[in-house]
Amino acid sequence: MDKYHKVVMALLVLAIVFSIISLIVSLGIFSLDLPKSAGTSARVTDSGAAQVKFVVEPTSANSG
Amino acid sequence: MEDSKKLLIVAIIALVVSMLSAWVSYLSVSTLSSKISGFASNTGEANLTVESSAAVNFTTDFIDWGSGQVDVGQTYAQLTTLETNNVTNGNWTLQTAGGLRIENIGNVNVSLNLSVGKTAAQFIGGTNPGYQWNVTAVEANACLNSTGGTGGLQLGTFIDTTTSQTEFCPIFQFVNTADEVRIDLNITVPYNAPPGAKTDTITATVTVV
Repeated sequence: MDKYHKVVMALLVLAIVFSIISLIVSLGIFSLDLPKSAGTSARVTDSGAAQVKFVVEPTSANSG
Repeated sequence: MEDSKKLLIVAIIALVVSMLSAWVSYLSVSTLSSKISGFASNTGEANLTVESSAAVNFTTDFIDWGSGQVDVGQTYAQLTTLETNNVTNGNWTLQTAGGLRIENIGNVNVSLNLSVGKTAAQFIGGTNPGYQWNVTAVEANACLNSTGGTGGLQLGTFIDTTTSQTEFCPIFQFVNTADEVRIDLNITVPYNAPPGAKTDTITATVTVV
């Protein structure tokens, strides 16, 4: 095998190696766990508040 | 084996592996693009999820009787939120009759629990103060029991308030024609209640059922 053939052979071997690496990386996509839709959450409780007010005026009976 | 044949075999292998790699890459991209949100294609698929939302709102959230006192010679005055005769034995004036109003503004049925912030003694003081509430459905069937009926509910009668959560409506409906209840109050002010402003907070808590 002359020098030219050796160089070509080496390049082809490299091409095979890189192709195999590419194949492995591509296959890796199948194992990705990507969400198909956004996650959702629901509000299950809520509360509200109201005020009650009155004023007791002082009288001779309760002013002490 | 001569060198040319070796080279040919390696070249064929390289070609086959490259073609296989290209094919797998194409399949991988196709699979990936179907998983990524936002991918456009000539056939559309729209997905949406309607979330359940528990939400309650006091449409009337403030009751005020103003300032007043127990009539001379009386041992107590009675303050209510009813439309008529809402002050007895006193000179207070109810600002807004009709009680507190609560509406289920969510999109699911919920349970309705109520609590007050203070006991009668803490809120009013004096001898034998009274602090009661009366829950009624403004719209028919707004408040149902756990089986969807109307039996066994503490509606339409004045009962003592509590500072702990009390369930009045196991099912508080969200449909617009049946999603509102009112809370009327009945406060007994003894003649010897300490003068001053009396305030309390009523809290409504709803949970999806």
